[in-house]
Amino acid sequence: MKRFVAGLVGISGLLAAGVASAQNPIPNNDWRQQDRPTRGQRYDSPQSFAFELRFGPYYPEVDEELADKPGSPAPYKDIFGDSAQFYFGLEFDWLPLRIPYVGLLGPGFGWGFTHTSGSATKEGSCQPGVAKSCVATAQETAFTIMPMHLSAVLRADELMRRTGIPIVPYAKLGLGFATWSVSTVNGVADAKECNASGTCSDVKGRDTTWGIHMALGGMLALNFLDPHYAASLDESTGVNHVYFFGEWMNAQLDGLGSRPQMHVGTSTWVVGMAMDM
Amino acid sequence: MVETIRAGRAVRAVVALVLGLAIALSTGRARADLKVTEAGVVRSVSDRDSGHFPLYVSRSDCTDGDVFTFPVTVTNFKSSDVIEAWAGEGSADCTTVQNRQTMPICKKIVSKTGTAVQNGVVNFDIKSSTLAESLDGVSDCKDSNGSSSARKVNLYFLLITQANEDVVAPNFALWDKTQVDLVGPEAPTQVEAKPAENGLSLEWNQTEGNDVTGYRLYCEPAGAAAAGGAGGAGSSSSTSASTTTGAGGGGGGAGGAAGGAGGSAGGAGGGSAGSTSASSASSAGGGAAGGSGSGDCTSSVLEPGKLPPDGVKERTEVEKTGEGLAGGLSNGTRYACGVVAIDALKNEGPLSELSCGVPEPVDDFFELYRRYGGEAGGGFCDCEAPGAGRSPAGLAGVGCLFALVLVARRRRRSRSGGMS
Repeated sequence: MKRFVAGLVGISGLLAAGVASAQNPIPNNDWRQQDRPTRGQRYDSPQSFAFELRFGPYYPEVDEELADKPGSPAPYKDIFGDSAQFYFGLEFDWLPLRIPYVGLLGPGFGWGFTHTSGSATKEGSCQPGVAKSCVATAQETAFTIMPMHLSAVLRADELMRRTGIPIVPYAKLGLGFATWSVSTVNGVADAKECNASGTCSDVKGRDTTWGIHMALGGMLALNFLDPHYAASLDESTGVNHVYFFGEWMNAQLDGLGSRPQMHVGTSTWVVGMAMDM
Repeated sequence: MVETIRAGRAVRAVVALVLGLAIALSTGRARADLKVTEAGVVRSVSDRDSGHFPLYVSRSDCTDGDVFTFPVTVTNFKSSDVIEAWAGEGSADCTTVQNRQTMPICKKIVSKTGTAVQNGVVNFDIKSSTLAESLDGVSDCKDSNGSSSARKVNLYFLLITQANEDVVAPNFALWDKTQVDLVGPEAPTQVEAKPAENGLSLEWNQTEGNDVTGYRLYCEPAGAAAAGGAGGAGSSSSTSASTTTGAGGGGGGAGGAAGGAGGSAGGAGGGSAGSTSASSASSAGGGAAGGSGSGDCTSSVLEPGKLPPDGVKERTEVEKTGEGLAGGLSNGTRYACGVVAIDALKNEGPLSELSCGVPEPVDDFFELYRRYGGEAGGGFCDCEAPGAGRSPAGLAGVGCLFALVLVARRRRRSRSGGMS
C-alpha cells in the first residue's frame, strides 16, 4: 500500500517535474557531471511487480449472445442504447521471471467495474427486430459488471533497457470472468422461469460469466520527463518506472462453451497509468 | 462590679445569638432556589435524534400526547410557598408581575403548592400540547399564525413567596431549550405521476426555503369521478425464455373526460402485447393502461392543500429531491398521488395538487433479456467448471497459468539447490 501511494505520488511528481523542467531556462544545469548516475545505475532496484489504473469505454456484447434468435433481439440496446459504458479497473502483476532479451513474465490479476442505467420498458412493448418499438417507462433499471481476469502477463522491456527507447510492449492472456447484476428500484431484478411441468420460480438477475481475457498494449515510460526525479523515486520508494499506456483489451466472456451465460465481455481500447517496482 | 460585668456579657451574648439567628434565617431565605437539571429532561413519546431537535415540539408531538418531565431541584422550600411554571414566547420575561398579570404575555402552565412540594427533586410533567398552546394563535395543536418557522418558548419555574411581586434570582429557573413548530413547509408544485411496476414514479418542483428536509409521497385509489380508467392488462406476465404470448386482451379503460387518458381497447388474445401508449391504438394483446392526468384527478382521501388525513400512511419518504417512487401499489389500479414537504421536525405541509397514474408491469433489462431468450442468471456462485473441456481457448488460458507456476517452482528449486 505504501508503495502504491508512493507510486501515485510519483506519477504526479514526474508530471509536475516534467512541466517544471520544460520551463527551466537553463537546461542541463547539473554542473557536477561526475555525480550523475549512469543509466544502468538508475534502474538497479528490484523490479518484480506492476500496477495499473485503467479507463475506457465498455460496450458489453450481450446482444451478440441473442443474435441468432428470431429478429435478432437486442435487449441491451433496447434499454441502454448505443453508447458505451464507462469502465475503470485496477491490475496487479507479479513478474518474477525475466526472459533474456524479451522481458518480464508473470501472473496478473485485474479487476474492473462498469455500470449503466436506463428506463425499463413497458411489459411486452419491445418487439425483436422492430426499431423503436419499446415504450420507455419511468422506472429505472441498472446493469453492473465487474470484469476480472487472471492472466499471464509478458512485459517486453528489454528494448527499453538496452536502447533507452521508453516503450514497453506487453501482452496478456488468461482466464477472464465477470460478475454481473441487474437491479431495479426494488433491488436485484428477477424473472420468472417455468419448467415443463408448469412450476415457476424466480431467477435472480445476477450471475458469473467465464471466458478468455487477452490484451495487447504499449507503455510509454515517463521517466524521461525528469530522470533525476525518477531515479530518486526509485531509490526512495522502489518505483522503477511510471508509464502511460494504451491497450486493446478483448474480454471474450461468453461462457467458454458451458451452459448459456450472458455475454458481458467486450473488445475495447483502454488507457491508463502504470508503474513497476 | 463583677456582677455588672457578667450581666453585660450575658446581654451581649443574647443579642449576638438573636442577631445570629436573624442572619441565619435571612440568609437561609435567600438561598431558596430552583434549578432545572437540563440533562434530566425527558419526553414520553417524542424520540427524535440529536440531528432533529429532540427538545422541540412538533405537530405530532402535540397531537400524540407527548409529555415533558422536568426534574426541578428545590431547596429551602416553605409550605406556604408555591412553585409555578410559566411560558412565554420569544424573549418574554415571566419573572415580572407585569408580564404575568398586568399586561400578560406569559401563561401559567402548572402550579404546585406546599403539599405537593418537598425539598429535593420535584418532577414537573408538562404536555407538549400545553407548551404549544401557551403561544398566541395555537389551539388544538394548530397554529393559525401560519408561519412554518419555529417559535421560541421560554419556560420559567417560579418560586412564589409573595403574590404580586417580581420573582428574583435565585427563586426561579429558566428553561429555554425548546421551540414550537406545528406548521410544515409549503406544498411542492407541478407533480407528475408516471407508471412503474407496482408503483408510480413522481416528479415535482421542490418547495422553496431552507425549512424543507424531505418529502412524503401519498397515493390512494383515485376517486370514482376520476376519468381515464385503467385498461385491462392483457399480456401474460410470464417471462419464461420462450413464451411471451398474451392471454387475451383486457378491456379498455373508460375514456377520460379531460386530463386522464383512457386505456385503449384490448385486442384479441394470443398476440404479443404491444400497445404503444395510453392514447394511441394498440396492436393485439393487452389494452393499454390508463394514462396519467391531473385535470380531473381526485381522491376521496387526499385533498390538495390540506394535510394528509390521520391514518393514511405515506408510500415513501425521500430526501430533499424532486423525484421519488411511490411503491406498494397494484398494477392496473388508478391512483391519485400527492406530495407533501416535511421539515426537520417531520412536520408535514399541505398536500400538493394530485396527479393520477396507473401502475403497470414493466420489463427491466433482465426480464427483457430473458423474454428474448437469454438463459443466464441465477446467482454469483456459478460453480460449474469453465469450459469443461469444450473450449480449447479456455484450456489454453488455464494451461498458461499452470505452466507459469511450474516454471516458477523449478526456478526456485534450482536457486535453493545452488545455495546449498
